[in-house]
Amino acid sequence: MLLLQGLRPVPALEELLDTTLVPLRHAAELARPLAHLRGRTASAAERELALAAEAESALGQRVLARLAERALPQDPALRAGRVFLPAEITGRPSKDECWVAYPGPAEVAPGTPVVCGDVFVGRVVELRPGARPAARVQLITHAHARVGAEVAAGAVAGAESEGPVFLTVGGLRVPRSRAEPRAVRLAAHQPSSVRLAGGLARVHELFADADEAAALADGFRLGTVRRAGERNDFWVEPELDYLDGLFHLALVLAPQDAPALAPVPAPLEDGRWLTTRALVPRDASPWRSTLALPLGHADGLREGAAVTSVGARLVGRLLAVGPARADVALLDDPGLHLGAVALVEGSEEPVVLGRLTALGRAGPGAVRMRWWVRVSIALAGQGEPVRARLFTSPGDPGLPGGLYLGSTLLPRAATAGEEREIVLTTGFEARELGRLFVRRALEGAP
Amino acid sequence: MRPGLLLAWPLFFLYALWVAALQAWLAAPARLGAWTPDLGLALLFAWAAHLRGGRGVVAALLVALGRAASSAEPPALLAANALAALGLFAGLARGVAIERALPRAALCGLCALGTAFVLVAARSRVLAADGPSVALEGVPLWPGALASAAACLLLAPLLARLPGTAPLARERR
Repeated sequence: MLLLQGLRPVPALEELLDTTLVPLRHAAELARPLAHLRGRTASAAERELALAAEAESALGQRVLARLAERALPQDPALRAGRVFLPAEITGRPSKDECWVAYPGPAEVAPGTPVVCGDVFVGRVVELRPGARPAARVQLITHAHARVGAEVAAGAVAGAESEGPVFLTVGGLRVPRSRAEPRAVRLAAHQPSSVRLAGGLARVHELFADADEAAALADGFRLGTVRRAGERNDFWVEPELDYLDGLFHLALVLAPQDAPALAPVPAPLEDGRWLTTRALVPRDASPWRSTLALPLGHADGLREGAAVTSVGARLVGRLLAVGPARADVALLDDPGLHLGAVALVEGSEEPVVLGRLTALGRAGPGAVRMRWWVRVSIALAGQGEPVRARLFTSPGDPGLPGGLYLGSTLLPRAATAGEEREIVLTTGFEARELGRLFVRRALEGAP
Repeated sequence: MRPGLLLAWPLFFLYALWVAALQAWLAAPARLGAWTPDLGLALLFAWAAHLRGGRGVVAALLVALGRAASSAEPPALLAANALAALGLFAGLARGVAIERALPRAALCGLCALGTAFVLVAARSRVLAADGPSVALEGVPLWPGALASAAACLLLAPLLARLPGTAPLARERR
């Protein structure tokens, strides 16, 4: 029975076990004398991190600011006659939906289009008013999401003089064979001409006058329409990674709805961090890389929350939170995953990488990470990989964006669907740190 | 219950905690890494032949709790492993002189291998259910098993004589 509970935990039993084992948190203090074995290395590692803390934090904030800027449309034609309300993703109830927080008060209604830059993302389907209002967004990848689209004139093979082709886009296209790449593709439905050769699809509702929100979405990009062979289905190659590459979005409003925006405090200065220390500095299993904190649910901790050290350095994420103890998966704990953005050497423009998953340690202060490329990237130049600094991306509950992860070598080109392995150089051993900071959950967060 | 026995159990648990904390310290990649012995199993096997009836089960659970205090592995799984190891020891003790140093060390190594296998398998299962497939690739388990057998061989006489724990075995003597 114990074996079964260990392999396939029953939540109620797990909770009972957690409560029963609360005294174990105090028992672990009895092993404290062994923590002194790492005393000197701890303070040396912290001093080293403190030297770079300010610069890393400033760089992280710059990356965040740039990502937020990029969420606003750049195309003057799309900016005309609309106002954009910046929104930050605060949670993902499912792969095809997200919660966004926006500065209130604003007249956001269900159906409001949501965009990221010049790209259409989805529509608001639910609103949650409050001091920091939130909206649930149904992404275009959702099985029930549909939006009218238009591929500009000249898209029909052999009939370049023909007008635009109309189609409906929404949901994901299921791969037809194992040989197909594991890339995410939007499904394209009922094109007005089957001779469609491909081209850029933009939102265009044929009956836009029926709904004001539909008109506001008009013209935003959906991606490139493609087809493999004449008998196969069409699909739309998206320009965004809808699962792990969305952080900042913009809600599209009519000009009369423009609100006065209140400033949002930076994540490191919003008072949601608790100072703590490692209760247990290492895991007894050599294949794991975890530590335990003497804090739990009662302190406002939730699974997935960020654990940092001096400055804006991410050390790990909460793996499990009990009533009085929390286990932290360090960056090199196999299975730890996070969203990342890269700042390539010589460039000020962040590159969205999407989700990275730790595979294990690659040496002192280095971690092997798996990177599943969802949207192709092509960096300037050719040949040798390029050095980049990595930061956490926003949009993950409990894990704020802009926290410094380390540096890595990135390939100059990567195609959607590929799986790559990169080595992240963190430059420090997390288990040598004495002082840690853990992020509390936001009260009443969806 | 005699006062000596009342003190012996908390002391045994304290030693189980310290042994697990020492194992965690040794498990750092810069120290023994994959060659880290399962010291909790060594402690359990050092005592297994001296504990009667329910006492063995209590000792196994305390060893598992000690390890749970220094690990993110599921406590239920750690307890199941410790009890299985004790059960195997008790089963073999009926037909083989398993309490002798060499067979005991060999069994300790085997149980350490089994324990590690179950824990790695359980973690891989969690990872597989948690999104893009990431398995615990190439985790070498045999060095830990060898180190556990060696630790049991060398340390068991010492672990069976830890201060204050003698009352646990007194009745048998």
